[in-house]
Amino acid sequence: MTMTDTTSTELALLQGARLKGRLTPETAAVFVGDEGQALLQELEARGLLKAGAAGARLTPEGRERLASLLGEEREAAGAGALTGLYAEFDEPNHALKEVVTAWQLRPGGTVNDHSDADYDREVLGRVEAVHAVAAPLVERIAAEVPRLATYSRRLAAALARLDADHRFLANPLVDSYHQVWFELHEDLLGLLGLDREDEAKAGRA
Amino acid sequence: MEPILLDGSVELDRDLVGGKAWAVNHLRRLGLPVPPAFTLGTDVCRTTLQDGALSAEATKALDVGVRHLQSVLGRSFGGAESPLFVSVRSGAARSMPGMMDTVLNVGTTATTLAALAKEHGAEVADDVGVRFLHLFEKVVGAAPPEDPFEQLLAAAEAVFRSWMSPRATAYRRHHGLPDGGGTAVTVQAMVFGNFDQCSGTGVLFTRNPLSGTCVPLGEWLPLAQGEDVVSGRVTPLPLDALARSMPEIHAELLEAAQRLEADARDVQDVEFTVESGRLWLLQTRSAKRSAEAAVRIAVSMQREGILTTSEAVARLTPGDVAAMLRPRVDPAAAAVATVVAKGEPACPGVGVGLVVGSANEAEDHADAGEDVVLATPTTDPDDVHGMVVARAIVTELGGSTSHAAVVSRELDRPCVVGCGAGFLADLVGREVTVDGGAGIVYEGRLAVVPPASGDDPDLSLLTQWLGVESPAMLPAALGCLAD
Repeated sequence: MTMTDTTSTELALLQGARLKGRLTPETAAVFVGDEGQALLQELEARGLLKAGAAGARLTPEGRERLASLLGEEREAAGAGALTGLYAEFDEPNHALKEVVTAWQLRPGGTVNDHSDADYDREVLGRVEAVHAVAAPLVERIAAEVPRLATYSRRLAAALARLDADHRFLANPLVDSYHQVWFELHEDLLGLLGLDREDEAKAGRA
Repeated sequence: MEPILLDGSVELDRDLVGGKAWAVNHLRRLGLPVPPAFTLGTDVCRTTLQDGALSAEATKALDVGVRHLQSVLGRSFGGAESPLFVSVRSGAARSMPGMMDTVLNVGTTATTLAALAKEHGAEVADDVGVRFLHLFEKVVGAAPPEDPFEQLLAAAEAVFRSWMSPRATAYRRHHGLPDGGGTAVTVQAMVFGNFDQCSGTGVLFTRNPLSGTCVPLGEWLPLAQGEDVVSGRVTPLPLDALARSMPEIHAELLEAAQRLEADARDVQDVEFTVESGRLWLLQTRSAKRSAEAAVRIAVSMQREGILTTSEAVARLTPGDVAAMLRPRVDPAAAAVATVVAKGEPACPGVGVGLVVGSANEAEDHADAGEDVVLATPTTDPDDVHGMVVARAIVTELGGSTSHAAVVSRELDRPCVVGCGAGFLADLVGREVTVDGGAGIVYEGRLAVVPPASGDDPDLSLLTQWLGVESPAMLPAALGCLAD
């Protein structure tokens, strides 16, 4: 079963609302590009999203619709290739979380106050090393599940902004490298029908 | 071409032999026991990558080097009696942590495994066999040949090649480092902490890295290999256990530790192995330490005359002192409070509030002006909006590099992770105090006090050195120095 373009953008936006909690026109554009605002209004009109001060959130109907669209996507993708790709995901996932931790905490567990430019440069270099492994992998994942292609673009965009604005490494309130990665991880867990708690027990979450 | 012997007889050129080999040779120069080793220099890496294979000369040098290791230890590579195993390690002039490859236990064959089993038991042999196979296939990309010397050639070539791996290349590109440098290959005799009752492995800190007191602190794991300590699979014993079982080794170790600290003029984190009653030092580096320990150690080293005042000050970051000045749970209250959960510290600081079990509840309570602590099994991206409004975050699963830990630090919310599956149901609806730096959740709202008093002797001395009026001004003063 293949999805029409309309349902796939609808899915992308509903899942975006779930992952971000609240969806503003700007965050909507992250997931579906220029048509973000129009689609946002359409989904609000259909009662799948509910507008609010901080942005639109999923309604119970929206959650139901999202679950059914994700189910269709999961069937279409087939778990075989994805299972193998998820096994490869483990290495850069682990590496990224270590790098971000090194960015936040100096050896010994003290908070990195970013007064040591050499240390910071070294850590940011390791982010690029992670991306060198991650980027081709994410492209192969997107070849299996077309909706996930936006992650390639979002990771590259976060990386490009990193040197000028360090929030784009891990700040959860912008589309930072770690936040995008975290959402990709969540999408992969969903597509494979895996449970984050089990994954956390295995040291992967 | 001759192999470069790391026997401490001469000072070596770091650019040629790489950091790892330089450090081994340096320890030998201090007269300390390090497993014997030799190196093929970075120049050999360049010719190997150019030719696509090890030259006949390099092959010869490996052969000569291995003969040297055999004669020093009285073991034989591939032999049916006391066999020699070696590690094959990378090492560039400038450290590139984790970017290149290492192969351990090279020399593992049916013959040597049988010898190991006979001399030290089947378990040791199985352990070596499994570890070797796994790492060799991962790094070399093929099953190991049966001939031990062929294994060594393949491993050395693979380590040279790892200089050009995508990881390593991307790392250098970012740092503006040239691709021309190359890695050295160091071949070192393996030593085993799992041979017998007089064997084991451990780590030693020359001073306490948490409190900064001038007392060595260490862990000792009898009958185990180094990886067992690092993996955390087994709980090690305190170093006193080594003092009881092998007092001479313990004394030798403390003596070596002192010499290492004096040489480095800093607290050292020393990895060691005892193989059949013989001490070997594997690695030493400046120890990671808590902020408080950083302050206390720098000040005491100045008092002891090891560091000058300006050197001691240069060892400190504004963050070290800031952490000592951050509010903490009142120790008197903490001493009598009930601990309701313990986990891994993920983000320091203290947060007090009512425990809620979901991001949406957190938001609802926070909207009503209440302080909340978010406690969840693990966190999803859709929990972030709840983490933003929480005073502290507690999770059941995951370690200090989990997504939850990363996000909490980014939001600067005190956070404890990995408290254990199932603790959550009990906590919801109760008031708690979360000490993110200690990894402890206390029942109730505990008093919070500033951690270091104004008359703390170490901080007072620092204020004198820096010419500021109070400890509170120290982080800024240190920040100015750093600029």
